[in-house]
Amino acid sequence: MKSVIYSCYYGSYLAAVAAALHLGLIDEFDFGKIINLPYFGKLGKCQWGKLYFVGEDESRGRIYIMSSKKTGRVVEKALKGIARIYNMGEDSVIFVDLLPFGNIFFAVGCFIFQKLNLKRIGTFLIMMGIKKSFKKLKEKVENIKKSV
Amino acid sequence: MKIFYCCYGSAHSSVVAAAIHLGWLPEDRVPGFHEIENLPHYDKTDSLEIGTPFFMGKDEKGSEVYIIGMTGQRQLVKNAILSFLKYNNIKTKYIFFVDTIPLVNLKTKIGGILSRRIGLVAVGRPLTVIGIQEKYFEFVKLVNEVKKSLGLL
Repeated sequence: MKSVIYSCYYGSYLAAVAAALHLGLIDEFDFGKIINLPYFGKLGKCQWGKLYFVGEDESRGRIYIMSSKKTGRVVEKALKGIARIYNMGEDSVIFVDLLPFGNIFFAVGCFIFQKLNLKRIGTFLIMMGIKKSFKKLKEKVENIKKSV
Repeated sequence: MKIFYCCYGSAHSSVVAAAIHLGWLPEDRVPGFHEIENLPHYDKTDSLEIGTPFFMGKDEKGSEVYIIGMTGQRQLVKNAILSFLKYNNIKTKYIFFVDTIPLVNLKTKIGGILSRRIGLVAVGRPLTVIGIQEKYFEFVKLVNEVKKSLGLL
């Protein structure tokens, strides 16, 4: 059984959108749908690093989201290594670090939302950022789905 | 039982702690330069390998001893490992993480940066060893506390 782990800095924005695209919960950019996605904008500091199960895809791949801040590469190595130690096979873990899919709107939005606690304007900028990256994000998820 | 000695890059302090645990290094004296330098993985882990758990050996009670680098995000990486195992229905009761970072002094830190990050091995490696030697009995103490708390002594 494959575990597909979508990860971004906070784990609840790009990762949540990518997981939703993977599971067919959304197909196009839709503000209303995205804001109501499971875990969207809801993972705080004490949840960083923890995996959250979002659903199972048609190939029985288990889809998770998580926050790995800027250490996606380290987390990927750790999880693949653990999978190897427990005889699940390194290939059973597909780790997708979405940090490169962020952009200036997204980064500023996250800062305003998370650090300044200005939720409305933060969310607006985050959504603008997601909208700008949406096409690339969708392509990435489609490639991942093919590999699963 | 699985014991993971964790540090920044799995190149120095975790290697020494694991080696003491496995009886590769003495407990009653400070080991020499070559005894430390020749340990498997000592000052060798590449920055691209950070995160990979390396198996070091089994102790006399059959516990598996590993080293793992977690950069400055040890809690985050531990959370990831434990939640991943839970989702895969693997009991985490017998998995222990031991943080060796508090035993890293300035010499080991600077030596590690020089050797692993900048590539000045000839300067950095001896400095890491000197730092480890200075704190050696604290490593012995930590390992003995771990063994005692896990009922391995």
